[in-house]
Amino acid sequence: MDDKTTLPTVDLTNAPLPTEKTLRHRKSLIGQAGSFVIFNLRMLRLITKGKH
Amino acid sequence: MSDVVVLGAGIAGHTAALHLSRKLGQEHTVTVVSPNSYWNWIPSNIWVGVGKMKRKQVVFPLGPIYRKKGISFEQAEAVAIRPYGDAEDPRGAVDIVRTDPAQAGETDRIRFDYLINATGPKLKFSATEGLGPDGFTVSVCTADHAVEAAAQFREVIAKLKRGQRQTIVVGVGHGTCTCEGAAFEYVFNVDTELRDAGVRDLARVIYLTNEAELGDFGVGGMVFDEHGYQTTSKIWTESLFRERGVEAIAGAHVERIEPNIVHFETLDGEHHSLEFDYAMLLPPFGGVDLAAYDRDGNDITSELFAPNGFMKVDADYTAKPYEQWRAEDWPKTYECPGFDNIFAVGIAFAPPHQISRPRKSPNGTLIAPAPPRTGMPSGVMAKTAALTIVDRIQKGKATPARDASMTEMGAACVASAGTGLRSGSAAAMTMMPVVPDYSKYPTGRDTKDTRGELGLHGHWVKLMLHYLFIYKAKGLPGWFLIPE
Ligand SMILES: Cc1cc2nc3c(=O)[nH]c(=O)nc-3n(C[C@H](O)[C@H](O)[C@H](O)COP(=O)(O)OP(=O)(O)OC[C@H]3O[C@@H](n4cnc5c(N)ncnc54)[C@H](O)[C@@H]3O)c2cc1C
Repeated sequence: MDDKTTLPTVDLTNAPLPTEKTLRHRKSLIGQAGSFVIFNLRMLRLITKGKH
Repeated sequence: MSDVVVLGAGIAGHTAALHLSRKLGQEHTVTVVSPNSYWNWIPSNIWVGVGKMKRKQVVFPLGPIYRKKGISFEQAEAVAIRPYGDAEDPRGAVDIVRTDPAQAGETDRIRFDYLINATGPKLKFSATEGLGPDGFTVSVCTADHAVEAAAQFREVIAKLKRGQRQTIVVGVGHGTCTCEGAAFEYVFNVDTELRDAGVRDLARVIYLTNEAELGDFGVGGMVFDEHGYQTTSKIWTESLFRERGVEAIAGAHVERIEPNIVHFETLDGEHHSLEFDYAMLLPPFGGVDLAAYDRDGNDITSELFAPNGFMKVDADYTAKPYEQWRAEDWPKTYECPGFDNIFAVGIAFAPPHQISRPRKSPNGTLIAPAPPRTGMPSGVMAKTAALTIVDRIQKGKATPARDASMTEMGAACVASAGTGLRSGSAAAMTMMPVVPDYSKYPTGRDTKDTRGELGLHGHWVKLMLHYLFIYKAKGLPGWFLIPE
């Protein structure tokens, strides 16, 4: 059985971590409302631009 | 008068049937054949699988909707296609075996002028010893599987609450699996549930995938434009895993599962074993078991179907090296070669090749994510084939087919956790197109529309899609205004 050190896990130590500001933005209702609108507009653009 | 038969009542088949019934007059018939009398919004099975939603919130009976829409419903499994008919009738026919309890096992033959094969995947748990609900792991591929997964997951949480450490493995159960996005979403939900239960620190959560790199998702990864710089779905996914404390094993082919142990090989050819307390591993997909016969009863299955059981369509199936794969290889009309009245859409059509670069371990084991055919493209293909049929019925058989290649179509994939309006979070991706086209875009995709985002808004999007698509699938007023 592999133990924790021999398991071939992906090295994530260099993966960027979010800043405090980013974490706050992800939860802020106002900021997220804006992101929600933008995401939906982008989905609409995907639909109108592509073969849908 | 024309008879149109749709095999399958999943995302693709049901979409096709609704459009056909809306566009065709009452002199034509639309018949849906499907073994299950319920429709399932499969993407929300993820929430059922962690106990956040009930089964009844993701399924509904098809019968009443089909009655209202004038669609005939045969609760049955299609077992054979006879494109040239039989000795009695030269019209195409499908052999079915009934699955409704009252007539279970009875066989019948139904005739068609046009056929759409939207039978989705065969869940090939048998490809890996010990995989799946009949083995030692759980699945969320069907609503029933998800209910069972949630029950076992609840036990894991109870043990954690008693202070027992638990190892949870989430991912795919074979080197050739697809649908990594679903496994990714499930691991994200598991992590959130463990945090909400206050037991995250006692659980080791491992994502076990056949993707050579995190963020591949079976689409060869994505390049995002972020604040004027190019970044990748690999960095984005690794960041999320690090932030959440989820360990990841990439490039893995699960070889065998024993009670509480998963044995796997990695791309470097090494073999490993990992003990687990709970594992949700998706199975590889194949085409469902459909045979094909000519008028004399000779087996012509290999003419219509690829060896993996998926139906051949207007794709370029010539075997060629990865470097020579082109966007033009992908199908546009979903017409089965040689038959202008038979189409295959959704997961049922045979892709010409993978999207991700296929890799082999030094032992010759193929570790290559199969191309995903997610909900949005499945619905679009289904509508396209349905409208081609409508055109041919109304304007004549020679009317050119409509087209919708996955190289010109976008998709959104939202991995969302939590179901509340204020507490959820999600990793939301959009990609345009699904199959990269390097002749049009230097990175294969349009970076304006290919993005990865994290936050509560993605969760709202997923909730919105859940309610919108169930509304649409119920054929409620204005359903057709909701895009596929
Ligand atoms: C857990 C999970 C989560 C997912 N999440 C997402 C997501 O968030 N977003 C997304 O876009 N996609 C998601 N997907 C993918 C999505 O579910 C599929 O793309 C979609 O269901 C494919 O549609 P389909 O109609 O081809 O197949 P299905 O929806 O599987 O439908 C196949 C139909 O054929 C029927 N059938 C089977 N055999 C026969 C037979 N012999 N004769 C007649 N009928 C038959 C079945 O009963 C079913 O009705 C997810 C998939 C899974 C497994």
